[in-house]
Amino acid sequence: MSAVSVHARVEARGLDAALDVAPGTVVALVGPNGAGKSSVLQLVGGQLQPDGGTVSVDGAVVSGPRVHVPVHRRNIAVLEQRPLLFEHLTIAENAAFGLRARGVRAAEALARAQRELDAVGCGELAGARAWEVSGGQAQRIAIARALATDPRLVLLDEPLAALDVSVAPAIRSLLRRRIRGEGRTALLVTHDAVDALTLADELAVMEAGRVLAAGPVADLLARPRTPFVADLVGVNLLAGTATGPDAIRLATGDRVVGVPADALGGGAAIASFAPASVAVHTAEPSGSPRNHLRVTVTGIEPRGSLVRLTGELSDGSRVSADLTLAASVDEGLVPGREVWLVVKAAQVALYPR
Amino acid sequence: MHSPSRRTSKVNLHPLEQVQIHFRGAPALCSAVAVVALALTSVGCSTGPAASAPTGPRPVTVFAAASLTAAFTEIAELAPSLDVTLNFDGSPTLVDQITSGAPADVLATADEASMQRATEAAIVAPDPTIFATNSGVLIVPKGNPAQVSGVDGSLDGTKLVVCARAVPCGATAHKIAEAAGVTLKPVSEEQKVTDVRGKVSSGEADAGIVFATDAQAAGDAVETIAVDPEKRFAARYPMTIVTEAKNPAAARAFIDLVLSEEGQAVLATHGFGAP
Amino acid sequence: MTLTTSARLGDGLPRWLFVPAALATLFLTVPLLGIAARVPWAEVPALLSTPSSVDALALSLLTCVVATLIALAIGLPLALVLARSDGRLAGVVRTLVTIPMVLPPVVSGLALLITFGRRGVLGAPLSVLGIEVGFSTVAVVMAQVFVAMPFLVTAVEGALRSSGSGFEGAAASLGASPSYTLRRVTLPLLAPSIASGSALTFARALGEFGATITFAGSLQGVTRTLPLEIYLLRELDTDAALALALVLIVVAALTVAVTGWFSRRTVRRRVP
Repeated sequence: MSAVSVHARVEARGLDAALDVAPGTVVALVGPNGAGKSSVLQLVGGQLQPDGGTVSVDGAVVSGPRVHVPVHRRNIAVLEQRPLLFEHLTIAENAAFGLRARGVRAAEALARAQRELDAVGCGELAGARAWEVSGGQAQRIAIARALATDPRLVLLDEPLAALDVSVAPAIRSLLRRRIRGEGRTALLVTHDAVDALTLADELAVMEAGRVLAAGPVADLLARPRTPFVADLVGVNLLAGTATGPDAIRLATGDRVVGVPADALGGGAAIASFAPASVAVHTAEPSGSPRNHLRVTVTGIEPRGSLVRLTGELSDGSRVSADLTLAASVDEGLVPGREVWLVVKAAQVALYPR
Repeated sequence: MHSPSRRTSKVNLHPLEQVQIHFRGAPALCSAVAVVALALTSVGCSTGPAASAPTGPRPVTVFAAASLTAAFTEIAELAPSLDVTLNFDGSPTLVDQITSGAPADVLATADEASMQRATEAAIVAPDPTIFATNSGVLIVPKGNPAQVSGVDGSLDGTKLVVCARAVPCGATAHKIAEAAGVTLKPVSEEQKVTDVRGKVSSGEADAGIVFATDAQAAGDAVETIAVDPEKRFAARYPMTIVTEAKNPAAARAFIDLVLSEEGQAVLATHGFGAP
Repeated sequence: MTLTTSARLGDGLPRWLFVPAALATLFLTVPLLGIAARVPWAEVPALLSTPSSVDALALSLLTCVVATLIALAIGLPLALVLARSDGRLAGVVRTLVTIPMVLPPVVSGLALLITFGRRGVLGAPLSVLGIEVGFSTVAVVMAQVFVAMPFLVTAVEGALRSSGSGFEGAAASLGASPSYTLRRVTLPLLAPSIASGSALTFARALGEFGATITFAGSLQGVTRTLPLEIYLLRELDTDAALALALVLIVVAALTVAVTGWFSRRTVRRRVP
């Protein structure tokens, strides 16, 4: 039995999603903006009602035809970007809120709240007011407040997105310990590959309101099949047709040779390679390297100590290359210029689509 | 009245004259206009342009109690030789206005107390003439739903509205009641006699005590129940010339007009009694 | 507010702007100072302790407290519903219920008279049942609620709209029922705007004149509130009118101060 099962449509948002989550699993929903990730969370949480289909939690339908369990009866915790601590209550009262709302006596609720605050490292803030704590502390307290209710499911909607980069890692590891480490079932929406890798067991890739692929995080990130996932892990992705055991042909006619990560059948296949492994030539390279692609430069932007060059093939597909700042200046690489990108076959992974 | 009605017997006005009439209640603006007017035509604010044309109607500015609005507007039409500008407001307010320097030639009040205040302040001539009386009457809504028969026991338990005791119409109401041996138990004591009349004519109140002129002005909406003539306690309306009148002769002419047979006839049609 | 060397005064604005600004300040304050100058201070205690003044003060306080409580009891729920509603109907209702705020008071009085008066749309059937509100203290309260409640509705609805529904959503996901959320989250968070909205409502009710005199009448101890008493005394006993006017000005000043204190307190909470 799935802990969560979503098979539902929401017409207004163009959503038609199918997703099953096994008990004790953390699933990260990834995909471009507007793909429907947050809508799936709202369907599960009860903030959104489906036009068709059902949403089940622990085998019981919570949303469906003639069924709608209200948000406050679902026992599903939600954590979002904003911690949304109640300003008129102390930190301890915030953490005890869920239990008090369920009718638990004050002393008992506050004792539990204190344990939860201790577990997120905010025990000494119990008497403080919400506006007196920092952003990172507020998010820790929000986690304590959510977990104090023993939710059967946790929904995380980009819980780290609003945090300072200096604070995010600590909260990330806290979430890893308290969610994944304690075997809770959770759905996580994120735009960050690091979040997906550290917090989630499985990945569900969404695009245009549909779940395109779902599976173990490592598998999906190792072999990106959609441009979004490729972007997420930061690799180039070119789609084509297998022409042999170690080569594919792109729509532009270019041939890309690589190392098959999985045996290629005869059909659609994908070549992926890191931007760092791409060399840029301003003239057609001599000595006929096996992979060279003629592109028009569409963008040059700094990326740490390097410069990322983005080029477009004649069919519009994109390839990125990382080079040093000096190199980009010396070569006079400006948008609009034609260049050749060269990548060694040993650094190209090939797998079926 | 907070927005005093101003009328003039002349309809076709010279643009400059219109401006002057328009600004007449506001002394500061008025004198500003006067400066301009002086520079252009060498006339003062309250004299009006007619002063420079002695052959035309003579201007006169009359400050009169609000209850005189209809009657005085009509009387002003009777004298083609006078160019009458009328300013209506509550009697105490008129006295205040003249004290503050408002340009008036004639003052006509609805009570002797206000006029006495004006004579004591020496802003008007000392011997005012009583030109009309206004007696208290009992009015009821059309059809007399509460079946009131007069200032008597039939008023008990009805919704009676009178003026506050401190206001002339209220004082009159209580005098009438005392003379009739009745204690009034009003549900409301209004500041303005028109508020009393309004509450009776709308049917909200069962009865009210107002002046005969107010009853007259209400037309068919109310019925008037006669009060014993001995016990009407009419208010006496005095009028006189303002000390600083710019047009004393025209002022005298207007007062004479009011006291004339013609003037008295007009007053009578509006419910006023003879002096 | 204390002026210190660090207090800002028109920072970064052109100097000439001070001229119209000073004019505006003078125009708004000089009439108040004028009253203060004319008030016979030595006689104020005596003027305020005459039976008619005491009755007017007591009646005004009583009716305004009741009117404010009624506005809270029914206006607050309206504000909550409006803040959490969209669509044409909500828009129409929102516009309609704020109209009394901008109506000339005498129009409000006429509207109430025509509706609840003896021959009014609702008043006539009620009159048959022996219920007549005209000339009663109830009518005073009705007039006050009619003109003042929109201030509470507007203040609270605006605050609730701008604060969004995030906190209520968080409370629901923590298992709080809508009623529990309203009691423990929404209302406490709204407390500052409820307080300032109530203060405005009280102040507006206290100043209510036109609707009262048109609809309720004027009788000492029953319907003659402070403004009506001032109106009556205005031409007869200027000193007493000024003394009572002073009371209204002081209450208005206190109301503004309370409102300002609450809004500053809110700002401090939001921006630590």
